[in-house]
Amino acid sequence: MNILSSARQSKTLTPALLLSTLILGFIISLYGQSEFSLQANDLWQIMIAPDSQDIKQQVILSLRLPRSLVACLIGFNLGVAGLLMQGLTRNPLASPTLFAINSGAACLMALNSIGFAFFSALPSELATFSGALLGGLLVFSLGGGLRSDSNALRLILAGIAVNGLLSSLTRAALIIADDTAYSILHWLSGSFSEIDWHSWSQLWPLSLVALLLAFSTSRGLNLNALGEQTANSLGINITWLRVRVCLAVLLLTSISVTLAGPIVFVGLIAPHLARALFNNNHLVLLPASGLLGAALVCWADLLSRSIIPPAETPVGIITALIGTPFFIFLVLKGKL
Amino acid sequence: MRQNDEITKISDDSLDDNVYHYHLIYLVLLMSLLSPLLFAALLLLPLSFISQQSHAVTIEHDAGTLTLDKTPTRIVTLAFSFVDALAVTGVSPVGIADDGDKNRIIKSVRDLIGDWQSVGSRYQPSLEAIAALKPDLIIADSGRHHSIYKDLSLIAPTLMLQSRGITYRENLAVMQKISRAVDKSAQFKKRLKKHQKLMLDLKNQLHNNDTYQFAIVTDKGMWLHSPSSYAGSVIKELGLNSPMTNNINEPYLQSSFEQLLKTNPDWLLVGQYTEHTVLDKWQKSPLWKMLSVAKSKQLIHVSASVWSLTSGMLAAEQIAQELASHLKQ
Repeated sequence: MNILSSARQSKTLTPALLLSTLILGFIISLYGQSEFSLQANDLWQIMIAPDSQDIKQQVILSLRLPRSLVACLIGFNLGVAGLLMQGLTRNPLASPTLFAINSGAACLMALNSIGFAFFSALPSELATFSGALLGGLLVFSLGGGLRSDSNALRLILAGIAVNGLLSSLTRAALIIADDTAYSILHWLSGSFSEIDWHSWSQLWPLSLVALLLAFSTSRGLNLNALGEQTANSLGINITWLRVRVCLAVLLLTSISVTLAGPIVFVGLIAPHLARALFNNNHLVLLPASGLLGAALVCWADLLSRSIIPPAETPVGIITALIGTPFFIFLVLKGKL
Repeated sequence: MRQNDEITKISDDSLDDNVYHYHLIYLVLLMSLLSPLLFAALLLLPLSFISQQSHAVTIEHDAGTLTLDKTPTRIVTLAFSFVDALAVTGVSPVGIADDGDKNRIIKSVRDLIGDWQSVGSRYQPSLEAIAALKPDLIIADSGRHHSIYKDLSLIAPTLMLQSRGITYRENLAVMQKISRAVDKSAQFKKRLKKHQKLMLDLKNQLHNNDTYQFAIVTDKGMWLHSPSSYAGSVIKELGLNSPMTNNINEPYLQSSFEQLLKTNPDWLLVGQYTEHTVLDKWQKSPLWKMLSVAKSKQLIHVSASVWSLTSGMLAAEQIAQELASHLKQ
């Protein structure tokens, strides 16, 4: 809080604006674009006159509320994971995608769907989650793992290689899948349409642990920004920092991709936006990047329902559509 | 002697005359006997000329026109609906893109055709396997096999026809084209009449005001098949109502639970592609009880391969009969 109060006045206005954007998006997504023509009034009715037989209220409570909550938390997770990756590798192009978590999840999910070998025996969610962990751990170990002489560049190269391998496997599975290919393809673009309270109960405990872990690394990341050697000489155990950051990224991204499919660009954009709006202190940047990610995903989910109603455009496509021009803007502005 | 000669001459003359008369009679007789034959031969002359070329049919298809000089006997089909079209006219294909699993062809179709060789998956049929069968006609799906049309044409004359995302009536038109290509138009017409009578009888039996929705479910979601899809148009053909009001031009519509609640059909017929589906999850929700199908227990599990994977006359008949049997219960 010290940092916030000492910030310039415009910097106290920014968090307020950010929060209100998020809250507004959250509220609108609770009733917006519904086949039942839900109104803001229906939200009010739930609070003053709850009725378990009213279909509108039930739609909001059992479908819309968990969906919006999950969208926000996943956005928060991805924003934080992105910042951690960029902080660790000191590379502005790093994002959770680098860890092959998305492609690992996609690969095992596709293999599971086509009934490949023993993968078909696993429940789909478990297969996806283990795929995410597997992809991430593979990159981590190829990228140097716990060795003290490993560096960020090695991690990036390992990520590119593993990503390539896993996505080609996914493509092969898609060709074999054929009839179920469209349902796999839909999942591959990321979607919140199958979210319910069960998803929320799976998401929040893991996210909480991973977020606490993430925040515990903020001081280390601040020093790491000065260069690995400097950080080392200032008493930071780089290997231990790398393990904690990687573990946090792995958990945050894996649980998100398991529930909603790969949602790209959030982990790349949110940290850049956060850096542009706030200072370079990771203690501030972490929640800021998380909130920006949450707002982005929340609004993207709302948009995904509004483009061609009643069909839903996969939310991953929306984030990419928002993300790409923004990214080009950043490059042109010389912010990268 | 001279008189004798005279007599002989006379008799000769008279003999000649007689002979001449006989000839005439024979000729008339012969003519009268042969004339019908001749007449028939004359008539048949142009006909036989035609019948030699009767297989020279020209068929318009999705990649141009195809002229076949003789009736094809070794046919390879790359989509399930084309097998249905061949089966109803009593033709057995030598090769089918059956995804390497003979059970992918529904039983009612399988029973009518002889054994075949698999030529790989429908998504990526093996050109080598097709060429090895030395086909004289390939029937390919214009939706899937557009990119390999040239390669297929090098192997054998190729028809590009629509198989997926078309309605019941459009499918019948495609079937008719196939029957012309294999010179079975008459058989097809006869079978079509029988089929139309069956559909009409069922239509008259099933008449009611409920709404019917077919959907495919997987562990990733639910896809509603609108009246412009194959199963949807068969339901429509039977005079049954669809609960869908908008986006009916889109054959398959992905549906969230919220949209299903809004669509709220009286009857929900689902075909499963995976063992566990989103329906398992939805049925646990308190909102499930608000659906008409939950109240009236009119959720029916049907075969995805009959209702969605295959389309054709036999599939349509099976869909119609299945609907009828559930409605009567």
